[in-house]
Amino acid sequence: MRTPRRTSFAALIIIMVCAGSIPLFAQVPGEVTGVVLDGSGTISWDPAGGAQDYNVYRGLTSWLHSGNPPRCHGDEITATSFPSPADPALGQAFFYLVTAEAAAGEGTPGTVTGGGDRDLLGSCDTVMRNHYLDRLGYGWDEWTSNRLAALGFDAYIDEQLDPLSIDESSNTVLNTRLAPLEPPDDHLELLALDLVKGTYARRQLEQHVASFFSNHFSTYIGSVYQYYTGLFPPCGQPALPNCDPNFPARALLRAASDEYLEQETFRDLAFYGTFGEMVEFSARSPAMIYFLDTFNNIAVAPNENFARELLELHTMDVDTYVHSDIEELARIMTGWNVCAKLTGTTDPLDPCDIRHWREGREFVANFNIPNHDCGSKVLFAGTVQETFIPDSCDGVGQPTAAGADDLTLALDAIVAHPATAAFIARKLIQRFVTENPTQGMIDAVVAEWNDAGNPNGVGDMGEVLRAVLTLPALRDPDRVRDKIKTPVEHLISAMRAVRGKTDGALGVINYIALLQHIPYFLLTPEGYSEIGGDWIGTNNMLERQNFGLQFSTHNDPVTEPDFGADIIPLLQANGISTAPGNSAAIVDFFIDILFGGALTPEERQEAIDYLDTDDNGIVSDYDDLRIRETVGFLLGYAQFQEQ
Amino acid sequence: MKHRHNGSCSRRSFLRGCGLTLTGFGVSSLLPTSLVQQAFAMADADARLLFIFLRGGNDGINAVIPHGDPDYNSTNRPTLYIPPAEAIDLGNGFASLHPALEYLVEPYNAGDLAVLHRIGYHHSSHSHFDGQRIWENGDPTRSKLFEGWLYRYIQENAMAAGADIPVLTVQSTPPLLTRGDERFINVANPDQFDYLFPDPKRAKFTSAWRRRYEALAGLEPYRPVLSQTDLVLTDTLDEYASWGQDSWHPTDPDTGWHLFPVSNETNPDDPAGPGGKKFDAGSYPFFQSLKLCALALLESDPSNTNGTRIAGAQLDGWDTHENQGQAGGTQAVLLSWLSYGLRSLRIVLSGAATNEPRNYASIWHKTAVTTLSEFGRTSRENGSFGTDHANASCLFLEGGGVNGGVYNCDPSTWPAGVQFGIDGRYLLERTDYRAVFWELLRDHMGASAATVDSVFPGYTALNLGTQELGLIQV
Repeated sequence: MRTPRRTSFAALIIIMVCAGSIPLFAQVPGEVTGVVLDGSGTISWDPAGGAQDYNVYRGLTSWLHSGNPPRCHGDEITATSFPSPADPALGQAFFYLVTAEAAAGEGTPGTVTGGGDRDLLGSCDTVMRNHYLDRLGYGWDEWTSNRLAALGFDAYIDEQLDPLSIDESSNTVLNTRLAPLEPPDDHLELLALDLVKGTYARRQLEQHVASFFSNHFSTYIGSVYQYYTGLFPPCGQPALPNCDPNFPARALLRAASDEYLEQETFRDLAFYGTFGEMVEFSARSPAMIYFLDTFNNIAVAPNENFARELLELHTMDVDTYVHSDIEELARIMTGWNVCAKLTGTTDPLDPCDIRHWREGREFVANFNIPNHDCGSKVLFAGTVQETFIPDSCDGVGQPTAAGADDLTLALDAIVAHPATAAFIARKLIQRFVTENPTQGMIDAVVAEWNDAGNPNGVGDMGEVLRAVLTLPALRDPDRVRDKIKTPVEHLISAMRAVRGKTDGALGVINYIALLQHIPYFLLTPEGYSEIGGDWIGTNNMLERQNFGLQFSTHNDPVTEPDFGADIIPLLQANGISTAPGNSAAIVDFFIDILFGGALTPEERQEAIDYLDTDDNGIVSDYDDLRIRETVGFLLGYAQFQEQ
Repeated sequence: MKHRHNGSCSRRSFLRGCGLTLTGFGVSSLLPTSLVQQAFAMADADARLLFIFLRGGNDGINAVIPHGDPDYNSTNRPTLYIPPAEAIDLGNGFASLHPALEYLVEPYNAGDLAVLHRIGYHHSSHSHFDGQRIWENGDPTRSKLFEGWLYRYIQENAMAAGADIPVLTVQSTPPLLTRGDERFINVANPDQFDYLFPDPKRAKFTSAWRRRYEALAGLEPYRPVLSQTDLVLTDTLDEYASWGQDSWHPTDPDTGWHLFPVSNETNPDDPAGPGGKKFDAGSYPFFQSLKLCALALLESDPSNTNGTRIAGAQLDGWDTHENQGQAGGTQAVLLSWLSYGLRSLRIVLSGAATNEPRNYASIWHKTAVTTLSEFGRTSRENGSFGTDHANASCLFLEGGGVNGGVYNCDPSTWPAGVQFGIDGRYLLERTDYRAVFWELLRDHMGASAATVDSVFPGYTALNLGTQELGLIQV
């Protein structure tokens, strides 16, 4: 905790003590003494009076010279010792600070020569708060921050893992923004939905996970749209039966609806279903059937496209199967396509009504019997997982309706293959916890996956997610900020932190294109990368910085109600004066919410100087616009790209 | 209007005395000084390389057609087969070009184009993602290695030392080929590669950010690359803006057509083409990326100082599982863009373009342009009028110092049966891709011979040198 903020806390406590309203045990503990490090790397200290727990901070000794303070290393330690993991690199040494903590606040980390507290790179409390909000959602905002503080970490996770238990009916801004978008009429509304939900939803984890699986089972909306423009062409002369007088409105609606159906289904199954149900759904989803050529896959000459990507990308990972598995799976998928059927029809064998599409019909998966290869198939031949799918031909070798069961049998075998649980566990850990999962982490999540006693049985995704989010590594302060935000995460987190305003379109949608991260628009099937290093580059650096400056300096409530940030009202609501002469307090407020307080003294001073000088670097009183621009400047720091 | 950063180094002195801060995370800073100097002396500081990655897996068999092989026929490829009369005869009695590659005739006849076939590697991956990584990281045994072979070449040979913009790529995110511990300039939106706010505000925030990124410390894994990326961005924008790429529109001296159609205005009229134009509007980003790459290489003439030696672009969409098309169709459209682009590059890099008042001198004699693609496609057509993932494919290499001609597609190098030489489905490779690219680096780019196994691990042990084709005039 840096000096100015500590001062204000101290002042507050003195006033309360004078009023006689604060019991002695709620005082802030004093400085921790007797800190020693033994030869095995365990640090211990004397108990401090009134302490509930302790925080350990660590830095490299080289930082002492460069002015970089120690960072949170052990959070909420209840013992008076802490085994500090990892040795420093050759030629370097660590130094440690310990603070005591009670309900009234965190005790001093000691003072420096000449007075004043030692600097810390943010207090453990605020650093870990922002870490959890970054990893469990799209970062700090007022509602989630208060909710986390009220519930504590464990109960907050439990609540986020049961999204339907979180009340969104009173979330006026979310509901107002969603009203014109849901359900989406076209691709732009589809994109806007993600941005609006990410920015305003209290069900942060739900939106995050829905986006994760929508991206995992990625389908390119353009290939879906192309298919529907063929079915619903413009009305020329002569007008075709299914022509669209408002072309291409109907094709856009159908394509957006298919993509929306995917995300909404994943949203539900990720918390209240199984991974097997997700795969079953995805393989028969119209968008996937168009995108990866299943509709072209016929008995006389199978198309391998979907078979390969199902195994490599959706379930098992590359190199866990052999080419014959692709060939067999491609044969299994023969005969599947999409057609219009009566709304509510779910049986792929029900008749199609494609030539006379009208209201009351939906485009759904269809099993076209004559195109199916009815011979027997073998998956994972010669392995423990070998699965035999019997012949479904009739007496004269012709395909029958029974062939539709091939897909179910095959997907069951693929989902049950141990490679699938390991691959999905690994990817989820990379997304939420660390980009370099250990085998132990993967094993822990896979064990939960395999627990048949879970409410939805094996592959229960709610419980798998719980296993991921309760990995001790997620609570390890050393892993804070070791991931880079994706562009969409970056944009949404910026808007959340400073009362951003977005209708999901104006301004923001431009940036997802500039940043090369447009959900539903990836032409290739692997989904956008969850690995931060893939996003680092000069273009991402430039446009992330541009975005911060542009949206933070826009706020006209009349002409720009849908793009900008209510930065000044945010300060005022938190009792921070925007009058000249208050630059340190203003900057500290934003350092707290944007970075959990974790900036060095030099980084903080740079922002204060920015606020205190005009465009030419001349010191002068700031106005509201310069405050907003300074927020944009802070959003361009490296730390805001990290999570 | 050059560099605005407020560091202690002026632009000139920055290039010389302070150059190491730019590449501070590269291998060069870790090497003993004598080794750096030795490596630096060996690299040809004046040679240029431009790469174009054809992502998705280009069907080599329909691009460079082995008409001399009876297995290329309408039984194996019912809707894809192109008869000899429709193709472009390459004059060796065996190989032809897809008709959409018509613009390659000019560089080919000039002896500037090498048409290579059967390029791949043993046990080729059939995954796009592993396959692209392997082609870019140069190590088939480590498909998850996120470091490019071209990056290693740059580091090992100190290519980037002292250069403003040694490497420039134009694509959505930085390609693995030039990625490693540090990032070079990657431009995704060529028309707006700058901050939104003008000076003096722009100078205020860029210099403040530059100070923060330069001092960025901590234990986090991404801080070094975040720091380096911001510095390279900040130190590049003015140079980039000075190129004025949006006002540079070189044209063909014979036809007057724009060499890089980037808009309807610069797209030649063609009554038979899409929308009455020669190229579909979807080609504009590709042509713009080639234009920017060419401009970067031209701007690196010794009379200038930015030093762009390596430029790169990509073209997506080669994954033709369905409706690949014959003389027309999906692949044909992409091939037509590629061939027009390759011809345009030769004209413009030769200093032969018109309607461009800048009068760049020819750098064609010291430039090589190469294509890459992660794999070829099945020799037999699938049931969706397309082809699936396979093994070896073709590759195009052009430049003033290239030994033009056809490689690996004549009776002596294409024995009967090779189209189905792997698992009865795939074209058997004859030359490892690493042999092609190492020749290019060594004989064209002046790579130090001692760095071969650092750039391509295992090159010596695997005897890949015996597969080299003699592609560069030495």
